[in-house]
Amino acid sequence: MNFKLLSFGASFVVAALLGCEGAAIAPIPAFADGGLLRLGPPLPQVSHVPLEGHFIVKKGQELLGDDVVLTTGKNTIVLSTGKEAGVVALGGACLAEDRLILEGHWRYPRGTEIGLVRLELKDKAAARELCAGSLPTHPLRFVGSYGQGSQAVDRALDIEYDAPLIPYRGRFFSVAHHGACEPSDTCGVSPNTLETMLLSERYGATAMEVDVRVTKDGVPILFHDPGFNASSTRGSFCRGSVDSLTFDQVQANCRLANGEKIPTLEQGLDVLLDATLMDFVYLDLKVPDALVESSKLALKINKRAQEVGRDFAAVVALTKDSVTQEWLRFKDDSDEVPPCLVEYDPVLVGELGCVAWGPTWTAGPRTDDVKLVRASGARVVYWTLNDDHFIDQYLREANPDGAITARTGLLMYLYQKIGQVPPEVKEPSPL
Amino acid sequence: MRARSSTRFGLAALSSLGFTSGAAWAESEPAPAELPPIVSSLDFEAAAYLSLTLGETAVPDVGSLNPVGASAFAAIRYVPRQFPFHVFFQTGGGLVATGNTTGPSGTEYSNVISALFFSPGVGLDISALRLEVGLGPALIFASTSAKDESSSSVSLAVAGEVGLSYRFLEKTTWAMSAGVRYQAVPGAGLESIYLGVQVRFGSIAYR
Repeated sequence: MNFKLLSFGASFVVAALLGCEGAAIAPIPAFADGGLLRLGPPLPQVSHVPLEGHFIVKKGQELLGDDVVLTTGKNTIVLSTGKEAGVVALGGACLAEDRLILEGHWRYPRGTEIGLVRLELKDKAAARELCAGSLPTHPLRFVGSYGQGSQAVDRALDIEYDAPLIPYRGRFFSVAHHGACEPSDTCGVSPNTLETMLLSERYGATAMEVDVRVTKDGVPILFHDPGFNASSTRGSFCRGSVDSLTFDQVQANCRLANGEKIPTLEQGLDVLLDATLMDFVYLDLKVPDALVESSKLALKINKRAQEVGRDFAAVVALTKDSVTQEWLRFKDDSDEVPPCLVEYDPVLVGELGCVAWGPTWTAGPRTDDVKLVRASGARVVYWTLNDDHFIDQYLREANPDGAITARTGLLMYLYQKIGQVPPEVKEPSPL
Repeated sequence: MRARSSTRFGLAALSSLGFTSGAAWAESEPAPAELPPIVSSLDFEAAAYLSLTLGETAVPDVGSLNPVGASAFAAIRYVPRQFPFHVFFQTGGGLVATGNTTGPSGTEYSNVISALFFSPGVGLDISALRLEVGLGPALIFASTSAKDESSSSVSLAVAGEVGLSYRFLEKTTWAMSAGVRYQAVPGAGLESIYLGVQVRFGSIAYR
């Protein structure tokens, strides 16, 4: 008996030690034959927005529910649904004989379910128009199929345009919470990486929140935790606090959980500006020491965005008083400052001339504070709304300008279903 | 009851409470027949291990990891004679792993990981075999250095271990075992296999 008890205890300890592994990964599947997108030129970017709208799901309700919202990004078409917070990330290509093909994958981000999707625009005249970069004058109806995992697409899917969307680009922000997925999800992409920035837009994000810390030699990097640990990084020698290692040492000794490099803030800003159509990036400064260099980089990228004619802004989040104090010092010493967002005190938004308030959802919708902030000409972006019920509640009660979320598709879907367009800000805003 | 020869271990205070140093009196005169049997003992041990740590550098193509380390432990163990199981506390540590890595600048870094463990646990004796399970805090020390740049850190984590040893030599006053031990520090991403010897060098008997 004693031996059994001790054996059980030993087994328990060993199981506990060995069982501390990350969640299973559901990798993005690929078509066995390479897919159809490679057989033709990509759908012109100008033809993406005309596809946007509410679509009725005529076949495939078991996957997508009764309706989906189609939004777009850079070379990206996204179907968002309220069913299991599902998203379909698609790319488009124009094939011979007036065929417009959409291919990609679907995912239920809360679990491991994923599969392939292939759709074709049914009306060839509409396909011809879109592939020529013209507005379609014919009905938009996509038919095709989907599958499970990397299995063949053998289940019918049919969606038909129903109604236009309410304005969202530049008006309502579905802000990816440091990535396309939470670390506990199964995307196989680590938070705060260049890879997740691209995936976030494919999953419906129109903006991105990133966590910024600074290395020993003053390089702002994208990393959430104060130190490197086994749960978020790889590399036996990847240890210590972020500010105890130089950037060169970080690159020598650390990779993120899924093998990605830890990027600099500068690299991240370049990707968001050049490789996505996101509206803004929310720089969540974890330490005051990150403020000066991050602000300089924000100014630089905002200037470059203006030069290339992109509606994009890097916004510095004043996350706590120590960061705000550093911000005020920087403001005193500088000719120019990037736009700011205050997380903790709505009164400071107007006092500091910030463009937005980023309240935590845990304190409730705080509708009176929302009115106060809006009276100062600023916007309201909650963090972090992931749950269907709370997204619904906050959209109805506070009519926010957006929210940080790990369910970017779901937030956009519910905004389009039950939300109202947020009021215009009084003065020109970089957001 | 009366203690004998306890001062050999500097345990006069314990002997006045009625504890007896079994190892000590075994070396002196034969035990008087009237002494009651030993019901438990407090054993003192030391151990030395070579370890093999599972791990790799972040970029294996441009780095190397030497997983062989060495460590030493000291343990105190309360062993009741009525039951096959006992409790212990051990502490010790040593070198866990070393290696070289290279940064994008071309700088080559020398890395060292060492650790210090504090581990209470329970053990089970079956004849000459001993199975042990321990769980306790660990301090993990890491350093990364180059010619003109060095960084070091200390982190606190929980370590767990399972060990199996075989007592192949037992004398009246001491014993020696060979053992294997698996140790994991999930929070620090360390898993190691230890091979080594344990020596029981002293014991206080309770009657």
